[in-house]
Amino acid sequence: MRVMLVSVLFAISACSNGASSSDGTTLTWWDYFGYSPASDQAVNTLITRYQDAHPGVQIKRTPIGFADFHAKIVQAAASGTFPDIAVIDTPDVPLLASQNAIGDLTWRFASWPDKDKYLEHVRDGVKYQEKFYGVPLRSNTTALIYNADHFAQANISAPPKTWAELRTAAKSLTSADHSGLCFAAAANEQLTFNFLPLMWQAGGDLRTVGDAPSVEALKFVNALVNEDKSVPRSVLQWGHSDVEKEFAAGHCSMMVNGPWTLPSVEKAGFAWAAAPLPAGAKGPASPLGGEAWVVGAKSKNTDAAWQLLTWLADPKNSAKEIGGGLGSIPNRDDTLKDPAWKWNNAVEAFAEQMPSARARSVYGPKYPQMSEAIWTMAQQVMTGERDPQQAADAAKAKIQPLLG
Amino acid sequence: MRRLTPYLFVLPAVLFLGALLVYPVVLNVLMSFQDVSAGNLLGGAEWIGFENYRAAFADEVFVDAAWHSVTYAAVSVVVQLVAGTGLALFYAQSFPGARALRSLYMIAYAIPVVVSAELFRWLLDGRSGFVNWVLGTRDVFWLADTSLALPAVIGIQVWLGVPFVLVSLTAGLVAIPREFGEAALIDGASAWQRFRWVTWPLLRPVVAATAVLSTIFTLKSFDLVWIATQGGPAGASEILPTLAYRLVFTSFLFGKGAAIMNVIFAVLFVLSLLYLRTDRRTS
Repeated sequence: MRVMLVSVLFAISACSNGASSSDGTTLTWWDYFGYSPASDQAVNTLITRYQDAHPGVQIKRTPIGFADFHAKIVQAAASGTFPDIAVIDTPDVPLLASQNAIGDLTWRFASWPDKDKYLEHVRDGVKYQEKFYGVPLRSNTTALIYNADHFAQANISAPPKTWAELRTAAKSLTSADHSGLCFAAAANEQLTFNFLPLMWQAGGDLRTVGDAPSVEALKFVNALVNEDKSVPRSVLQWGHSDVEKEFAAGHCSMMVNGPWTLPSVEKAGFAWAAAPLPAGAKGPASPLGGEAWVVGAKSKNTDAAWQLLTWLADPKNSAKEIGGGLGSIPNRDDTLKDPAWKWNNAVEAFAEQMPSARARSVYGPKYPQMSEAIWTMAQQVMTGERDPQQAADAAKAKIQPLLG
Repeated sequence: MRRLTPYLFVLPAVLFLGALLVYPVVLNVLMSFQDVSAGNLLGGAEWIGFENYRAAFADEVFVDAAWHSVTYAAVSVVVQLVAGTGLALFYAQSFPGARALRSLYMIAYAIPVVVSAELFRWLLDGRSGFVNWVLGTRDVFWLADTSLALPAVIGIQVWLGVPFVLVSLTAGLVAIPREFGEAALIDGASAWQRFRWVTWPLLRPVVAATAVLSTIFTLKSFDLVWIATQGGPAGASEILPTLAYRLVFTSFLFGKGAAIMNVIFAVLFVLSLLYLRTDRRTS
């Protein structure tokens, strides 16, 4: 009996699968936006809205945990089970493009007027070897978020605008109860995300690590952590979310973090604000985070997928969900100053940096190994294990052969 | 048919072991001889012989991690055994509350490693950590200092491992007939003599088995270090399992990661054989 029931159920599900594909198009969609009820809801709302407007299209969404997503997408790429649409972290674009897992959208981009509206670096984020592989619907960067109550106590009237000002402010904000500045510096990509901007601000780059600007950046964090002790060494075991908690608890007066922390900072119960990251000797720079909406290389529904992506890219259809719901910072010339994207007062400080935010995907498919060399280098200096020049030389020796 | 029946009974177990044990192990060994990266995971990877192993052994990161693994396992197991044996002997005496206190240790054992590791991360924090408060020290960054991170994770590992030793040895002690000790007492043996010449010889096989098992557990332990330090700072607490994980899932160097896992596997295999031998001798 049970066997029969199961086979009947199978037959029914098989039928329903067959029926939907003959009626119209079913697009499979993977993302990691299930991290909060608000973000999950935002994606579902967009999908429902699109399906209502396009009766022929069914979207089958699979939310996957962020921790598993990386491994899952690589497996899917290798086993040929890549979905029609996947929302991937931009630094993964070169890797997946180089293994032919994601489709080349260059010719579609060519005839798409909206592509020119995206900021240059945002467009760089979805490119690999001069070809376009995805639509950058959500972007973000980091900013300096500060506790305004602590600023008032320390008689600091305006947020620091340069490295020198940042160092002075962090020093005077450090007390027995709280540290001046915190940022994620655990042994992973998050530290690279925080450290690369310092190298860029000094006029350096990942490719030329070992040169004077990279050593300057290392000397700067060394001064903050080991000389002034205004950045607690605890950050070496903290990720973005740990830093967010410590800031909300009043243990850090300033933090470098992304817009995803704003909802919880909002509830912290003290006055706060956000400012652009302080500029270095060669001006401002910040890290570009966010995702590329990509299409599977073997997808049979590329046309339908592209239609969906361009629909989502239109701010008229999605500004509320991608902005407030997914915490995106506006990433186009036409949305940068648009009040519709100002889902929080702090968005302005983040948006101001978007034109100088740089993508990590320009470093190619071997970026994960280069990133490891960068965060190891920064940790070596922050722990006092090596001096800046030694650490930079060691990182150079690891990165040079990977550049190829 | 009758001759086939017994084989049919073991068939499920054989299939199970084949699919879940032999297949992945063989696959991993094959992978370690190939240049497998994200691009050729499903096939087409080039055969490169022992290149992955050669590269690993020439890499100072691997050598450091191997030493950390050995130190981590050796120190944890020795401290665990000494502390566990002491506690087992202590709780073997009958005094009010002995049983209740002994079962309290099991609670520590029952807590998932993820939870205790996360807890220790905050207990050991340099600024607001409980451990610094108790010791009256300030700004000692246990998990963020290159010379303290490995000792600190060893400390956590000992805390996690003592209950296992306590329980195993308690079972061993209970199995020793009381009369032996009483006879020695009547003969005038001191407490130390009774331990040295009566309890210890009978307990030794259990201690040996516990030691081998603890070594296996700590050598393959991944979650504790991964959560507490992720192998940092600057690789100071990197052990072989965290290094292999990073190579495979962060850098997508599947071949090199497989080679490192095979090194761990070989060591664990030898230890398992050792365990089987001590176990056989016991029974």
